[in-house]
Amino acid sequence: MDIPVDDALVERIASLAGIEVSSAEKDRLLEDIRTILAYFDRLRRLEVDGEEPPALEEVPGDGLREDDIRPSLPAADLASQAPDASGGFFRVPDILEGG
Amino acid sequence: MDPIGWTAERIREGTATGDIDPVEVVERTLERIRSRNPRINAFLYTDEAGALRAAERVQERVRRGGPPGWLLGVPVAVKDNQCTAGTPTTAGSAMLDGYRPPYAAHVVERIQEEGGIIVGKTNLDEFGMGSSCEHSAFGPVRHPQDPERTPGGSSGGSAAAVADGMACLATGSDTGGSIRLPASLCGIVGLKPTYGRVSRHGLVAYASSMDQIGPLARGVRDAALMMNALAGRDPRDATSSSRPVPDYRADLERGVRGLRLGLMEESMGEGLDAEVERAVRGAAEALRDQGAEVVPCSLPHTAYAATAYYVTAMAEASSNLARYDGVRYGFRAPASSAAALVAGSRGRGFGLEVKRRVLLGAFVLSAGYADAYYRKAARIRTLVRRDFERAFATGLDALIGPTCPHRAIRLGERVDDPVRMYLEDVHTVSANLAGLPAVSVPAGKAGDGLPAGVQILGGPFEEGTILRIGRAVEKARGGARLLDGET
Amino acid sequence: MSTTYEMVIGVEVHARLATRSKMFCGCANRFGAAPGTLACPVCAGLPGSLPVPNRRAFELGLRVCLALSCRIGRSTRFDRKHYFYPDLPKNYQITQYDEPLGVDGRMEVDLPKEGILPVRIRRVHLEEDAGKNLHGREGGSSLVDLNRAGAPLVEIVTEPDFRSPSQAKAFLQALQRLLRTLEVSNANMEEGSLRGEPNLSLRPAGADALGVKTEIKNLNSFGAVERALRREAERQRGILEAGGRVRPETLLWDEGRGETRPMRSKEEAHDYRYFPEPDIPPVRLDAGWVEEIRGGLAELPLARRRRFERAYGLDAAEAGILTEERALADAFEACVRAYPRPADVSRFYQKEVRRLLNEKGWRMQDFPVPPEQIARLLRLVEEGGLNPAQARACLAEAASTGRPVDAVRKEKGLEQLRDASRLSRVVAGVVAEHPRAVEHVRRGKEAKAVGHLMGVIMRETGGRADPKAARSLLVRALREAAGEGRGNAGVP
Repeated sequence: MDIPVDDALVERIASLAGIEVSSAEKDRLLEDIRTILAYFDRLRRLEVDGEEPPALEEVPGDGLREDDIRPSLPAADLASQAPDASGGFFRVPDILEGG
Repeated sequence: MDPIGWTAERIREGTATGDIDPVEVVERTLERIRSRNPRINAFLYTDEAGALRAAERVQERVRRGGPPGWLLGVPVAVKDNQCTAGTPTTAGSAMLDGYRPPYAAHVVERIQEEGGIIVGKTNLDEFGMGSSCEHSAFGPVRHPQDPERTPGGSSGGSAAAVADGMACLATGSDTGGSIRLPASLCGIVGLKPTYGRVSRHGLVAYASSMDQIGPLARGVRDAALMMNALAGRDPRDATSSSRPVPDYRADLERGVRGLRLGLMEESMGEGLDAEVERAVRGAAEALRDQGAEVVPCSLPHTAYAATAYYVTAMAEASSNLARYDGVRYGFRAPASSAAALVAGSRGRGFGLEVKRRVLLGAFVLSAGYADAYYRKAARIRTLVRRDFERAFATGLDALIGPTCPHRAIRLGERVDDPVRMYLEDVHTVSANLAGLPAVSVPAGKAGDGLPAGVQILGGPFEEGTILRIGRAVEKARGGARLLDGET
Repeated sequence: MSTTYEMVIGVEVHARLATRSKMFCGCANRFGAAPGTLACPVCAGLPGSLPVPNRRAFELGLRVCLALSCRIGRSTRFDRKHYFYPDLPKNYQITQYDEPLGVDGRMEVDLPKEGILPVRIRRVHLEEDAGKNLHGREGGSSLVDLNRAGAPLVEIVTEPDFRSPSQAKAFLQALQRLLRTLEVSNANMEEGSLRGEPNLSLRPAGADALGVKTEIKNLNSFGAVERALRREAERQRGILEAGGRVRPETLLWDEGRGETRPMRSKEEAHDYRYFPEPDIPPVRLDAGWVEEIRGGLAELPLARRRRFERAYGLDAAEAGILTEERALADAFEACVRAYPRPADVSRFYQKEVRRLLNEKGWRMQDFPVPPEQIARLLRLVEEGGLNPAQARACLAEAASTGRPVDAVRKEKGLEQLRDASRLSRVVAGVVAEHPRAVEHVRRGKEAKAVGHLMGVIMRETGGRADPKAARSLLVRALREAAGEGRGNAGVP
């Protein structure tokens, strides 16, 4: 697969990954991503059709958790590590309407 | 001998009988840290008051005739990607600079329950992503034997601390070799348990299907002792195994007569430093001398394992690190919209290597590419597993090979070359893909320049077997590593 | 000449499961707690936390699968669905994508005028809910409350089998009844424990191919579902008739304005990057476990209604009312077992018991008078031991005090007066005192006279007179007095 590794691609995956890439970093990252994807392309060389991906061992029903209530974190503890919290809420700048 | 050179077994036994004063041991350890850490940068945080209090509690426990505990009085360092309640846990990242978790990791609770004394949190590659400890937001760790070199990563801080006597034992975490690699480069013992053997509750996740916490120690017996404390079922981790935990020291002195070992052929090929090859073949010889049968063994898909590992690990990492968004904890960049808050906080809070992996991870999972990359890697993973199953099915008790292709590299040598850096892991990743236990023990002639390890890999839950083989290698070298300058 | 378009509607439903704790952690699964008080490292997505699934959520989810006749696989698995949003703590939701709990089910909905509509159920799966976003009082900010984050949900997706908004609404109402009967969820739209997201497309009548569909969110009542669908159908018809094309998008319903508007969120074209949840091994759904759950299943509403019609000779409407609520249906059946007159029992529950429930603001399941006691009351009335007014008073007292009917009766002296001679004396007395009533009877206004004097008799006897006996005595007495007194003016 010859993927054009260009600015547009980097912008697209930066948006998917929720990371703001500074213009200084962009060139560097472009280079790195090209190199790493070339390294990944070794995968293509191996024919592996039809193999099932590995699954973790199945657990029967009793590997699950009993429906018991456990104490939650005190609201103060939850808020103590937050950059901006008050009254049990976390505050963030306005989310664009639509959610 | 200086208490900082004592083995964990000795400290534990002495403390239980009252011959050893845990407060003295801790004081000496803290002194060592104060004097050595500024140069080595193994520790990001030490809690002197807390450690002394813990030592006093151990004294009290002994006085009361309380339960003996596997780690009674032993100074332990904890890698800083494992949560300690109320004390800093940074995962080596600016994103979590100042973060104090409201809960402790399972392994931290276990260490404390068993009487271990946590002296501090060790430096690491950010979020466990790296093989040299040069990707920490808080400065690199330096190799105790040569400050111009790296100790390996990502558990480099823990390895350096143990190698240098700043802790008797340490925890590390291993996703693609991060315990075994620094153990090999620092000349100590590092074990990655079977996937599910040790609970991941409280481990800051990197790649969930491969991460495991394990011990770093100067000798095999101490590593086994620490495994006794760490292993076991934890209902807070759904992937944690219910299999009973044996005493991992039980068979250590049994020797290797009659065992059948496979020397991993594909790992002994090109790219291996001459000294490392010599060390590994030397270890194989030593095992033969002790009565083991060593035969060549092929794992045909070895060539693809590293690529499959990186695709899988990056994919899982991009997912596990999605939570770092500046909303509920961690670094927050000023922003005027929620979306900008997330992108800005992550852009500034993550280092370059983490950003590379998160971006690529998102890419290999994205629509149109997931089949060619992520799912293909998953299928190769199955093939790697099958290679091991077939090898063990031929009657092999364990496999041996190099841990790392070379010895400690210089700082700055590969840090800007990601793919070259990834090749550090080429011998260690298969065990993570297959979920098998693997240990690195020092090999080669003792005192012969920079250390190199030999890796021993076992079937599922065969930690006892690989430790037993490791013990035989260790004995052939004259025993467990002592601190430099000690006899 | 405008084309006739057919509506093609499907529904995606989320119901909050009635477990004690959340889907992946032990925080209480409660609605209405103070903000930020029901979170823990797991549901708040703190570093190092791990999800552990709730067994009861599986049981409730499997009940739904069985009730909807879904195909249940040998094992089921969770997946991660990625998108960034402040109310989603991990910025991924743990849901089920490739291997849901159940697929290919069906449900029959009984439509008032159209008969039975078979609805195909595409899938049933488990997932966790997100937290809640509120717009800040200080403009320019949003507030996130994590209480709801991690709450257990069951998602039920239908095929697009509905052809009108009222069908979709009827389905939701039937599904609500089902979920409540199964005790899987409170399924309350206003509280948000039942959320319906319909999708709609139009196609020319008779065509096979499906048109472009839109999805509608933010519907808080069954009525809103119907209104929104009707409005959206109009909107789409307008576009198609003007020769345009409908855009596939998600719309928000604005109840105040009565219109839909597109979600402005940039998350529109999501790439969710699904992959199997590595922290949770697949769960084996072994046959023994599934059969155990099937055995414990309650009778489903439609089946119960049909059985009531057959077994108790009730008509569909009445049987429907009785089986609307499981508690009522259960009480009715228990009562009929003790007093086998279904019509009387039904009437009593629907009239007297219902009145008391409304008065006291009780739910049927909280009603303190057991069915056997109701049966006793009804038997007493049948035997003449109580008149209907006394029965009502007895019921009210029994409900307030929790005392058995016979004890209440004794305490309050609730006995019907039936002694013929005593009654005759009372009746005679009343007739004698009311010459005007007798006059009315002479002039042909018997009913008026009887009505008036019955009231007097009941008052005189302290409400204890047997109304039937008293009435018959009264009528005879009045007629006699009217006939005798012709020409006379009330001689005793």
